[in-house]
Amino acid sequence: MPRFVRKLTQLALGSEKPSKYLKLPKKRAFRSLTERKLIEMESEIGRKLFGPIPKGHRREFFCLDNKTWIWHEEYTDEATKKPVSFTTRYELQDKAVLKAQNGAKYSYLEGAELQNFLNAVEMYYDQVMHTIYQRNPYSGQKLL
Amino acid sequence: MGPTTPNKNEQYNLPREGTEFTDGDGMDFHTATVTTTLSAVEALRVAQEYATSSTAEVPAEPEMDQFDRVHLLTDNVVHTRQEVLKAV
Repeated sequence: MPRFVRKLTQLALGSEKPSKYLKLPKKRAFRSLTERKLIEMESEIGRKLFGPIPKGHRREFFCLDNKTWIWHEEYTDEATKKPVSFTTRYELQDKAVLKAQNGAKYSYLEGAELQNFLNAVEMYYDQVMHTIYQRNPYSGQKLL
Repeated sequence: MGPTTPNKNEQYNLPREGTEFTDGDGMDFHTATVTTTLSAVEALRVAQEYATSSTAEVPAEPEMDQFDRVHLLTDNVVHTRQEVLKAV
């Protein structure tokens, strides 16, 4: 390439590589988000809805899908020093909530237990929509 | 001069507009809600019908029951989650 053409090209396009700060980041903030990660973030809110978590306990409460809510609790039994864990699955039916504990015991939520579950879902929704998804829980619109 | 048309209150034998109801007049929470959407005279008529007829149905906005509500909130969470995942 003739020298003057190269010079002209350099003048027109620039000869130096762009600075790092001019480059767009390859990974955007939510690039690595997966459904699992979002559920974990939601559960961080969910686990706090029922008051302080006892020391040594691990608690999760989250919405798994359109029909299922999960409560998981883990701790070490002080008497036996053995780890204890239980998972409760709440299945939404048309006019009832079915509770399944450790995949075996089935019962329908009633009375205060049902009301507590409904309150927990309400609080979860408000806080998750507001804090994680930054939406107005009532309108669904993004918060500014 | 011929017979005059009775005014609405006389026609329906209703109290005049502005009459305040107290407990025992047949007003309740449902009819109180109705008054916000109907004219005062019409609301009085509805209130009186409701008070005198055990079969009268008072129109009320359908309320979402707690199970519908929990389904709605759950669907919204899942939908928003999917929306966020699609956007990244």
